[in-house]
Formats: sequence, C-alpha cells, structure tokens
Amino acid sequence: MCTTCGCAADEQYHHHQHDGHAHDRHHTHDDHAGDASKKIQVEEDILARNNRLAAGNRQLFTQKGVFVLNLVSSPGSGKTTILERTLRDLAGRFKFAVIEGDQQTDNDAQRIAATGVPVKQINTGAGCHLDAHMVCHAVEEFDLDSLDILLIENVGNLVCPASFDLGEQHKVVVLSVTEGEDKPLKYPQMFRKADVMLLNKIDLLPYVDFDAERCKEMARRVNPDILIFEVSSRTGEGMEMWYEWLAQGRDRGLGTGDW
Amino acid sequence: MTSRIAYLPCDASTEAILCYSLHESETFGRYIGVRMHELAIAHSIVATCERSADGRKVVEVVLWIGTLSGVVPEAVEFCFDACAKGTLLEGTRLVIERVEAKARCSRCRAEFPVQAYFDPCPLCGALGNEILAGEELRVREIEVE
Repeated sequence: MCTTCGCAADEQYHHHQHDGHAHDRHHTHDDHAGDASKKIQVEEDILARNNRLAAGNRQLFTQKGVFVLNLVSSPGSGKTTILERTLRDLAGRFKFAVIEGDQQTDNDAQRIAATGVPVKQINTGAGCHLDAHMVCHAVEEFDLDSLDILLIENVGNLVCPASFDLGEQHKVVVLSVTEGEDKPLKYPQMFRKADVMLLNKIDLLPYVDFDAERCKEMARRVNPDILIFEVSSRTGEGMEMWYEWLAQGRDRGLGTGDW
Repeated sequence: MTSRIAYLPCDASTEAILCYSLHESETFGRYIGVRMHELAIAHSIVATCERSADGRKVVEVVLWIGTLSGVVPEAVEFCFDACAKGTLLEGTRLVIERVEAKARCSRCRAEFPVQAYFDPCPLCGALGNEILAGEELRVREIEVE
C-alpha cells in the first residue's frame, strides 16, 4: 500500500482508469510532500501492463465460455504433435482454435490447419515469448462464441514464457523423455507455474536413459500440486487421460468461471 | 508492417547495437522482446517511469527484482540503456535492489530464506512451501529533475 495517500499500489486499474480524475495523479505523489521532493513513489509491477491485458483476456474467455491453455516447453518436446493428435482425436467433441507462437515460419500453423482447426500464427521475430497483447489481437480473428477450447502453443523456451501471463486458465508444460530428467529443477519457475505436465515420447523410454519416476519426483519437488500425464503423441499411449482432464476442465468452468 | 526480424547470431555488444538501431527507427515498438525477455522488461520499465515522470527528466530509477523472479539484473541493466535512449530516462541511474527469497513452511509454519522454489524446510524437511518474497519485479520509485 502506498504510505503517502493510502491507495492500494497494487491496484493498477485504479490508477490508470480514472483519467481526468484527481486520483489519476497517483504517479505524482510528491504533490503530497510539497515541491521540494523530487522522489516519486511509483510502486508499480513492471509487468503490470501485461498483467492488465492478461486479466482482460481471461475475463473475455470466461464470458465466452472458452477454456484456454498455454502450452510451454523447450523446442522439440512435441507440443505441435500433441496438438495435432488432440485436435484429430477430439474433433467430434469440442470446437477448437489454436494460436501458434514461433520466432519464424508458419510451419506449425500449416500442420494445425491440416487438421481443419482455425489457427493463427504469431511470429515473434527474435522475441522469446508470447505476451498478452499479442494474444489479445490474435483472438480477434476467432469467433469466440462458437469455441470450446483455445490452445496456445508458446515459443519453445522454458525460461521467458514463464513471466508472461497470457490470460490462460492453465499453463501446461511439456517435457519429453529425450531431454534431461532434471529439467524441472533447472527451470523451476516454469514447472512451478504450470498446473499440468505432459511427459511426452514415452514410447522411446526403452531406448533412452531417462528415469521417469525421478523426473516426476523432481517436478513435484518444485510443484507438489502439478498433475502429470505420461503420454506418447506418436502412438497415442496415455492420451486418453489427458483428454479426460481437458474435457472435465472445460465442463467445470462453464457457467461458473472456475476453471 | 510485419513483426518479423532476422535472427542475428550475435554477441552482447552486437545486440546493443541492434537494439539502438531499432530504437532509432519508427518501428521500435514492434520489435520489443528482442532475443531475451529482459528487453521486454526494460521497455516496460521505461514506459512505466515515463508515465510517472509527467514530462520531467528522470535521474534515478529504483527497482526491486526478486531472486525468484526469473529475471537477470545484469541483463536488465544491459537492455535498459538501449531502451532509455531518446526518452526521459536517457542517462538515468539505475538502482536495482535484490529482494531475497523467503518461504513459509506448509507444515511447521517456520519462515526461512530460500535459494530456489524446491528448497525444503530446514526444520522439518517439508516441500511445497509458500513463497513470501522473492518474486518481485517492481518499479519502486523514481527521482526527477
């Protein structure tokens, strides 16, 4: 809380939506202290703008009854293949849309488009993550009223996307068994912020030195509440559990907004 | 206008030059987030401070960056100069105060410092502790002329 005027400094809406009101002078708290002081207490979250836009996205998705997931992982973990399989297997049950985030190319968007699902590609250029502003504009192209589930595939990167809320209901982190099993400890922020972990490519377990139990234990050490599904997007093994979670999550939030 | 930009395999100094040259172009806003998220964060710091400064030149910015925030202070410093060029914050002194991470045990309620999310309680060994501090990413105050 701001100690000068008692306003809640965390309430960015309060400070930025009262244009023209006296309270909009939040940023010149030196007014309280007289002209001598040149210090201005700002007390604003650096990601406040992104967080405001994300909150707006989340409100819109809830109003429209769209279940939104943000898929994050390292490059090459199989996010796009998981999406392709999910979209094909659940085509008759839900109406999907997909946002694809990549630095360059629309290769992934073309793969998604081949499933018949509406897709919007965001090229971040050299940028390392999607942000709420990009998503806010990307969804303008979808008819949200007719959608059940929106899947956002973030840029392949286990670091930066953790800091940028997009307005999703859950982050889903994908880790494949061809990677190091200690990634949850190496990139704890991402595994901490995710609600679900898909341990992918389990069909390859016989061929790699990957201790799945140890990996799951490390993920739970970072985030005891994380839900873990072991899947193979190539063979389809384990995908039913993931679909069940998807269906239940979507149904649970309808009407209640509690996804 | 497309938001695409060629990926340049470059070292830190090249990145700074890239950053400066982008800033001088009208399209800078389309290129925020170049290569590391600290650049997007530095851009956000400049925007936040400019709003607060109300047209006055900013001589000092004080930030809080928590040790669990996922943001590297050196990278923010590095990007800040480039983002501040041509704004009220050009040449501003950047003061970064690190906020050490602290957690409360989910079982015995003890409070203790942590280096990482997965540090167990030093008293009872419990995991999944509540983070009390260390995730801050905040502009605390600015000093204007």
